[in-house]
Amino acid sequence: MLVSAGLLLDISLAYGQGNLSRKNISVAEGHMSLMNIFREVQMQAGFMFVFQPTLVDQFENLPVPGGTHTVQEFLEIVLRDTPVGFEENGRNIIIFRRPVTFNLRGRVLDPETKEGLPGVTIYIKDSNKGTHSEPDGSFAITATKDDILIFSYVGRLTKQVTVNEHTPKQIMLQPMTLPEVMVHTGYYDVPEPERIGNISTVTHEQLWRNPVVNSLQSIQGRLAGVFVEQISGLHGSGYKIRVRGQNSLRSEGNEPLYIIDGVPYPSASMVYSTTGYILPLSNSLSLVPLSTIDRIDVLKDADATAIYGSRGANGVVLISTKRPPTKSGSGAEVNINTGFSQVGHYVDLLNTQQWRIMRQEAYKNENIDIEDAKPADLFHWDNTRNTNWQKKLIGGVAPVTNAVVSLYGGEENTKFFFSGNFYKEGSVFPKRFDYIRGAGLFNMTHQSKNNRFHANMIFNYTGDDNNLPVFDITQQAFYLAPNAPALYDSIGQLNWADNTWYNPLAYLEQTYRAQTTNWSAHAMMDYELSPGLVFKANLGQSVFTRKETTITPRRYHAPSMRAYQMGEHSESNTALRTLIAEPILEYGRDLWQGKFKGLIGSTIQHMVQDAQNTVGSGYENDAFIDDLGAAPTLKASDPVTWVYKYAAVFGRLNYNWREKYIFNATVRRDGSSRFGSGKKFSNFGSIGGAWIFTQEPFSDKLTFLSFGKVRATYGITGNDQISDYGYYTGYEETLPYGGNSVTPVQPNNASYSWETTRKAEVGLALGFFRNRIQADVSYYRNRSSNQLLTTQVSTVTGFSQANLNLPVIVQNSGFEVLLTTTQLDGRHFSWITNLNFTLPYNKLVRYDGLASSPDSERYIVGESLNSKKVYKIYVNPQTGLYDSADLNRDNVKDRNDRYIQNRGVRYYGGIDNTIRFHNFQLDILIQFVKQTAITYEANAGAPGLKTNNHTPEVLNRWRQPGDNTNIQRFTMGEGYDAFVNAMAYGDIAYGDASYIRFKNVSLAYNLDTSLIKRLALKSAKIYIQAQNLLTVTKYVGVDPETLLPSNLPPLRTIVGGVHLTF
Amino acid sequence: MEVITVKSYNPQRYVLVFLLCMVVFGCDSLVDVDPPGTRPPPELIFQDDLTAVSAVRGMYSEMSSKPYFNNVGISLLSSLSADDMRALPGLDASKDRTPFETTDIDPSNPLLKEYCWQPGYRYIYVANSILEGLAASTGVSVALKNQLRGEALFIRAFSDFYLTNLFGDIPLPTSPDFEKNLHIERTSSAKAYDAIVTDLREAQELFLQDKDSLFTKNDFPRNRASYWAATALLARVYLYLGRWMEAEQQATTVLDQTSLFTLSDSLNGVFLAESQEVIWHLLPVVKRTGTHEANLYLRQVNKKPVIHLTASFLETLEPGDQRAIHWIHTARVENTDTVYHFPYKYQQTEAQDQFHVELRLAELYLIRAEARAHLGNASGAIEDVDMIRRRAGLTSLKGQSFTDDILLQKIAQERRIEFFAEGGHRWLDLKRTRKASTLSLVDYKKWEDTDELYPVPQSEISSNPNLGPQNPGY
Repeated sequence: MLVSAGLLLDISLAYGQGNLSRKNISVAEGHMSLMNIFREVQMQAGFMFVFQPTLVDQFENLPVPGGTHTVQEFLEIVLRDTPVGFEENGRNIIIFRRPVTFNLRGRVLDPETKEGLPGVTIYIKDSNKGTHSEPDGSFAITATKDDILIFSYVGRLTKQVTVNEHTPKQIMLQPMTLPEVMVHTGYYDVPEPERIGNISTVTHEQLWRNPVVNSLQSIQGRLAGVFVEQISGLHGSGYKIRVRGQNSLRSEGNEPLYIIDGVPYPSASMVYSTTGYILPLSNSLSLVPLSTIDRIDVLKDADATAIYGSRGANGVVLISTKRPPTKSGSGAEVNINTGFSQVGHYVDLLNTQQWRIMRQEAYKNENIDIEDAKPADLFHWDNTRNTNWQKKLIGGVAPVTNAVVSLYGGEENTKFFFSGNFYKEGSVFPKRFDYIRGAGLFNMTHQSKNNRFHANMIFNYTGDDNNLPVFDITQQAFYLAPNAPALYDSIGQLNWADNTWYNPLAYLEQTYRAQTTNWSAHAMMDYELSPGLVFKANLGQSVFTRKETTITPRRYHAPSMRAYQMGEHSESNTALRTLIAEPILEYGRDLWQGKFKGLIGSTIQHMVQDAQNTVGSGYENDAFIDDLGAAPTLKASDPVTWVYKYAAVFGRLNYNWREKYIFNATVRRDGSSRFGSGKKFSNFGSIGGAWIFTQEPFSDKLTFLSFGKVRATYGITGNDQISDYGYYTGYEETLPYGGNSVTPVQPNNASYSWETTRKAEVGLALGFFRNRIQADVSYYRNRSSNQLLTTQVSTVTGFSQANLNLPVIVQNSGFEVLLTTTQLDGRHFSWITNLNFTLPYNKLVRYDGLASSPDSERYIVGESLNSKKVYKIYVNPQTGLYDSADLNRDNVKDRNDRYIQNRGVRYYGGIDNTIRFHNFQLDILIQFVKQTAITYEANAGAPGLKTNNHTPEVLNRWRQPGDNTNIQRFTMGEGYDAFVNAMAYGDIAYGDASYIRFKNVSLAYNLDTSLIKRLALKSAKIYIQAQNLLTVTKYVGVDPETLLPSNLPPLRTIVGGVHLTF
Repeated sequence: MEVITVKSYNPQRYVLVFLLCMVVFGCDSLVDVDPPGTRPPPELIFQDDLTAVSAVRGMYSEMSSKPYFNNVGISLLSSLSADDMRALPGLDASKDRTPFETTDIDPSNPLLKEYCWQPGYRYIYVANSILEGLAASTGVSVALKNQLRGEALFIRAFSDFYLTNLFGDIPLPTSPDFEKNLHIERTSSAKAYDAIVTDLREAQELFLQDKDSLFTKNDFPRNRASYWAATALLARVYLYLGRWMEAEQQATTVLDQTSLFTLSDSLNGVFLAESQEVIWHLLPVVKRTGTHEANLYLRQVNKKPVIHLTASFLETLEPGDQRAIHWIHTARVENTDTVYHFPYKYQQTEAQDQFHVELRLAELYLIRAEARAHLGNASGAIEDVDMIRRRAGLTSLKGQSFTDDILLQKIAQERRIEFFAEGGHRWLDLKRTRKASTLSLVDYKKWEDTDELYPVPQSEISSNPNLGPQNPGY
């Protein structure tokens, strides 16, 4: 129909317009069917009719006027009382259903007070027609039948009304207490206002704007109480995530629990592979493409995490992938973007001239005859060279491509969602190292006709291929002298400059490849046994395999060393299988004018890890090195199998009295295979309550206050993040003593058990001015005791260390503030700001026997775990070397001169602005971190040595007796110890490393409706997205987040793309 | 999908079934895991002869692999504490060794724990684990079980012996129970000796169960503890306890086995792998590495040995003593007259033709000599001492007459020369004969009577306060 209309349009140009008024028709008065009327017109006037028979057939008996009329007049009379319209189009008359217009009059009211709401924006969807309500709330608008009328008002839920005979005259706009926002807590969902626990959420609305590989990167700066740090800019590398600070003294005992669609995922510390040193804290979460994630919920306090009991002490990160939409119908979505990543910022380092000054002075200061030593950088290398090694080695542009295709469909009872994803990222190194990922997600929902049975099945597959150099040459960019030799010689070979240096490009010859696949299948089913009583089952399995290949060819070694070095090929295979089964029984009913909900359930979880490593060595020829079988020497490690089992039973009660008082209680009993017999099980639980005081009569007078809630929670959760089999003694092979010999390797130690964290929290949520301003403030205090540590024990036991629970208490407390303000909410222009702010405090409350423990220099009771006693360092004006100050002025320089330096993060947060103007939408996420961290110079070593380049700051060094400065003299030897001691025990190694980062900037343009319709699209937008666009910091160094010059900093990524929905 | 609906249902029934399921599943077995295959549990190790033997071999392997305790560690540090050796000053390696020369040892000196304390308790733990494993075992044959138990008891006694000699009152673990040993208390030195004697006597009995193997020369395992090793050590223990009759008797038991044990004719042959003088030695386990002694004493920095013999030791050597030629080596510092003497009993840093010797026949001659001297059998004593003197190329004492004191001095002197840089003999001898205070005469020493005992490593007391108080003087 649509197509034929287009064709007809062309013909009409030739035929001309206005014929309907020129040609006449005459019929006898009476009644005719519409079809016959058309026939008559066609015969007498020669017009052809284009129509839908279903529309025409229903008019079998229309009154026809007698006499002669023009065709125009005739048709107007005949069709006057029908919804049928006509239009001349050349020789054709197009018949269509004429829109029915309504002159609507009504009032917009507050549902409670029944008072009129003034200034409500009222407009017809997908049109330019619109109006505002009068001061008394009344409005008038003309609309066609079946139009959708939209009522929008700040702080109120937008309402859509279909125009027809039944359109109500009174439109009630509910206040925006976000009742439709459901909070996902893992085992159950609650409406946002009734939430007791503390949960932070990022939805796909925010997620999709991030051009990143790892989903953890997308939540950086978005969530209060969740601190995410990128360790390295290498693709596939890890993130350090801390939910409300460091609870456990074991650094690896602070990982949150990751749950993806109900299946627990291993956190970084639990994956055994060689990845550790190449990709520190490498995290399997990069295997969940961002585009398939619907939402990420981070559970923080006792009430929210208690349901995860044992494993929830460090918070729970729930990742939910996309599901089919709740409405019937089908559709598709295509999102393709491409762009690039690059290092966002170079550190200003000494140039050749400055370098030479530093080096020569260092020799002079140490009284070393430079002519004698003849260092290569001063004597052999070309002094006219001045290379920016950062540009040369990490200055590349890495292409990024991301493509997503999604499809959904289905009818009322069975629906599906499918998504395919492709991602590719290059590297900034001067050699190709690609990261490629392909992923597919299939999600199906089904419900029985009687609606008592529901099932949701999710299948997820991801495969990635990560190629990297084993050695991150970022370090070389900061190590090399500015006049170091050219990378290539005149004939294009790697330049070794008579073996006066190690060519950094040779590092890139040693390659690492990780091929990872992840399969997961998960089914969630529920069946209503009787009204209010539902049996649920969550069953899931995920299989994660990774093959890692490290290849060290002979050409990796300097030519002078190749005679002694053979090639090596190392391959390791890791597999991790997780199985989870959770039967749950839910019951709900009305009770004492309130709603009661109860739940009992149990969790059974198995996790099996296998790992095996084979090393082939002795390759003489690099050509065969990819073939492990060709290795002259093959060595296989012992295959390792680790099994972790976890089981729990739990129950939860919830009572909600008139949406005013809400009470929660959770109890559970957890067992973990990581503990010895008799210590495996422990009990945990939580209680929580909330009072929505805006439901009370007294709050009616507080007209500015639209929502108010106070809540408090308290509970105990556990932590079992310690090695498997730690309690269990066994024999391992040792050096053979005249035959196979074995020796016991671990004490039979069943003395240790769960680490416990007691969490307390109070919170206040407020909405002002019809929720135009929403604020949520929480104060939390977590105390982790019974600390589970691998600690020094008396060697009379036969071992020097063992796992023990120590009477150590670590406290994390702090304030979290969330603020959402709607500055503007017009039809064409809106501006919403979200702010999150976290002020954390960490304190070591108790550590018995600290003074005599190996931690005595590391921690201070009463201070943060990041605090350290340090000497005040200054440059001695006489010697020119770093020296410690006599802080207490007792004329003795000793340990009592130390003071406490607070290191680490002081506060952090993010500001997210969403500005919409007509078809444009701009989002800017600014992340801010206030922190004290290690300086560039502390990592760069003593200035004067050949091993590191420095910032020009070092030129301000001590030169002669009497100089007062904060940089010690350039040194080759003697001053090295002074430097190392000052950095290790002094205060100058740490400095301000605070930063404000434009974490994510996204600009999107939504194409006009008319254009979209012609393209048969539902919506279309084009966009530009940028990650780490700009960083504002006083920190002099590679990056205030990754800090270390040995790690590639977080890259700036800019992509452009299109997003279409069909 | 059509779902079959249950026509009639009773909610209570479902709840009951569900609860029942949870009770069934909610038991310990759900979180029990099998041990990892690469690390078999004791039950598996002690289920048959072959693996049980490998556990015992592992015990020796640990004793042999590192330069700790019996192996060079104690003999070095105690020779420094006595008057035989000194560490070359100015070296990094000497920083922690020098305090032992003046017995002015910081309780947190790492050598104290690393060389003297920790390895001893490690061996005791391994021995106790073997004893516990064997006690619970049904699969190991009775004859083998007796032998392996004897070996474990011997190693425990051997470790206790050195620990109590160095530290006095010591914890005396008799089981591998981790939680018990974590808070164990110290036992008096006298009780420790009781335990040592009991262990060695029991070991002897166990070894005697299989009399045949005792005398079959070919099979006699000198690299493992045996009836003879237990008897030799028992002779030493009785000597230390002043139980002369028993000391003489035990020594004689070994000395009478002339078909098994004979003094090596040449001094160079004493420490060889095939030496017939050896009662117990350790196989080298680290590839291409000689004894730990050779690797320590032969090490030189700028042509100076890191450890050298003291002038007072060299002065006591009688003229013509062949041991001065075969067992001592010198290094002359370039362009000076300074000459350093260092132990040269073990001569190979890489080759493995010499084994580290723990017990050898020479000691039993001198044990019996000393016991006989105390028992009034001077001629018998001289006969035994002469066995050693003769081999060293010295004149016989036969025919000369000595007072008891002089005779004992002669024997002590012979022990000092024969066993220098071996087994900590000099330090232990000085202490047991109440002559340690004579060290106050040595110029560089600052002798105090409390110096006879080393301090218990500080970290041990902080990890287990029951190990306090610290030995007096520290």
